[in-house]
Amino acid sequence: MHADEIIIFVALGVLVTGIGFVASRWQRADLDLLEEWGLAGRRFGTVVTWFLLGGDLYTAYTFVAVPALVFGSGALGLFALPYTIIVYPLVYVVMPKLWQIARDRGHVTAADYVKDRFDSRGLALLIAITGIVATMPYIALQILGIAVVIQVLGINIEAALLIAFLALAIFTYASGLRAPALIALVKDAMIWITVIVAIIVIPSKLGGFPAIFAKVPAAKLNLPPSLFAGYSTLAFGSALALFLYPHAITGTFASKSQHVIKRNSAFLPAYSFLLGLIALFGYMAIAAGIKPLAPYGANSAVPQLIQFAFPTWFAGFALAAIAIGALVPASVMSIAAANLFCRNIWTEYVRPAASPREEAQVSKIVSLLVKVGAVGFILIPGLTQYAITLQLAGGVWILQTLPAVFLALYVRWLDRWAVGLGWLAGMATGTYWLLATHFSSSLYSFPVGGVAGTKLYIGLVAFAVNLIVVVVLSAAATLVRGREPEAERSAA
Amino acid sequence: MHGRDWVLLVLLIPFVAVLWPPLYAHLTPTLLGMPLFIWYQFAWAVITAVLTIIVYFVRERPGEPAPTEHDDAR
Repeated sequence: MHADEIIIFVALGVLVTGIGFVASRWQRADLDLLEEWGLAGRRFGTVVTWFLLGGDLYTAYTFVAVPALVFGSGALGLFALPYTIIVYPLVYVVMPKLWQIARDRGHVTAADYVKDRFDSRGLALLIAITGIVATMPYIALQILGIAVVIQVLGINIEAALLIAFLALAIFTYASGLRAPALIALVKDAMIWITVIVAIIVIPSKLGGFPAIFAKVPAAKLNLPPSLFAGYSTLAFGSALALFLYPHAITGTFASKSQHVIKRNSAFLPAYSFLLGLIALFGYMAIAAGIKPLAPYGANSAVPQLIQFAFPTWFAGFALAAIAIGALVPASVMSIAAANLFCRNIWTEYVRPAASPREEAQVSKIVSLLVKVGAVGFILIPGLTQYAITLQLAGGVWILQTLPAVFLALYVRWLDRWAVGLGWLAGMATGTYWLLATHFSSSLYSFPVGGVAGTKLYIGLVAFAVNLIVVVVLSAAATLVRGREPEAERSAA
Repeated sequence: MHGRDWVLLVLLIPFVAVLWPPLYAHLTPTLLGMPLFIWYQFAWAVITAVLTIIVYFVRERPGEPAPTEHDDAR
C-alpha cells in the first residue's frame, strides 16, 4: 500500500465524479425527457461520439480480460484484434441506416425499431429481454474490473466499490448519457497516456521488445491449426454481435448524423490498435514473471504489471484509468438497459398512457436498480463466476437478435413469426451447446471436418440455425399468404 | 449515389485478410521480435481504417445530403 498511489487514484475518482455532475449542464436541455436523458438529444458530433463509443465499447473489463487471456492461453486472446477490426466495415454499412430510421421515427431502443418494423410488440419484447439479460452481467463485470484494480491498491474492496457505485449511480441518474460522454473524454485520454507510456517503459525494463517475445513460450505466440476455425468464428460472431448490444446502440443513436457514424467507422479502429497493444501486456506479464493472484487469477496480471513497472504515482494514475474506464460503459449499459425496460416493457405492457416525463422517471429509477443488481453479483461471494459465465452466454444470446434488427433493414419479406421462431431456435441451440461445455468456453467441438471435430464459436453456429429457420419459414409464409400482407401494409 | 455503391466491396477485403488464419499464423518473419501472427493483425487495424476513409471519400460527396434509403425497408 502506497499513500501517493492511493491519493492520486482517489483524487482522479473525485474529479471524474464532479465531471459527471457538471455534465447535466452540458448542451443544456430538459433532462426529464427520455430523448434527452437517455440519448442526450441525439446531438453528439464526430469527436464526442468517438470518445463515447471508444470508452463504451472498449470496456475496463476488456482491458483486464483480454491481456489476461493472452497471459493464460496465449495467441487465442488476440482474437480481439480481428474481431474489432472487422466490426467497423459492418458498422459503416449497417448502423447509419438503422440510425436514420430510429431518428425519423423516434426509436430509442433496438426493440422500438423491431416493434415498428414488424408491427409486433411481442417480438419487440423478446429483443428487449435479450438485450437486458445480455447487459446485466456485462455491468457486473465492469464492477469486477474496478475490484481487480482496487485489490492491488490494498484498500478495502467492499467500501471502495460501494463508493464507486454510489458515484456512478447518482451521476447517471442526474445527467443521463451526457455524464458518461463527458467522462469518456477524460477517461480515454488517461487510457491513451497510460498505454503509450507503458508500451515505452515496460519493454525498456524488460530488455526491449525482442527480449519480451524471446521469454514467451513459442506455443503462446502463434495460433495452432486446431484453433484456426475457432479463432475466426469467434472473431466474426463477436463482430456481428457487438453493435446489437444495447450500450452500443444507445451510443450510436446519440450521434447527430449518418456522417458521424461513418467517420467513426474509420476512426474507431484506433481503439482496436490500442486494445491490441493492451493485449501485448499479457505477454509482458509473462516475461516479467508475474504470478496470478487469488481470487482474481489471470485477471490480476495487468494491474500487477502496472505496479511492477511504474513508480507509485503513475501506477495510481494508470489504475485509476482502468477503474474510471469501468464507469463509462457501466453507466451507458445501465442507461441502455433502463431504456429497454421503460420503452418496451413498462410503457408497452404496464402504463401505456405514460407521459414522456414519466418515461424518463422510470428509466432513471431502473438504471439505479440495474446497478444494484450488478454490484450484488460482485460483492456476494461466489456470484462473480456467474457474472463471467453469463457475460459469455450474453454474447451468444444477443447475436440471436440479428435477424430482427439488422437483417430486417435489408430484407422486406421477413415474417415476424419466422423471426421469433428463429430467435427461439438460436437461443435454444446456443444455450444447449454452452451447457455442453458447462458454460466454460465459447468454443464447442462440432462434429464436422474429421474425426476429432472442429472447434467453432457457439454463438455463430446458433446464429446459422436461427438464420435458416428465419429464411425458410419467411419464404414459406410469403408463398402461403401470397403478396397480401405486403399490400395491407402499404395501404395502412 | 447508388452508382458508387460498388466501392463498398472494398470493405470486404479486411474480412478475407483477418478471418483466414492460415494466411498469417506463422512465427516468422518477425518485426521488433514480434511474430508475423501478431504484427500482421496490427497492420490490418491500420489498413482497415485507411480503406474505410477511402470508401468514405469516394461515396460521400461533400455538401450532399446523406442518402435516405430507409423507405425501401418499410
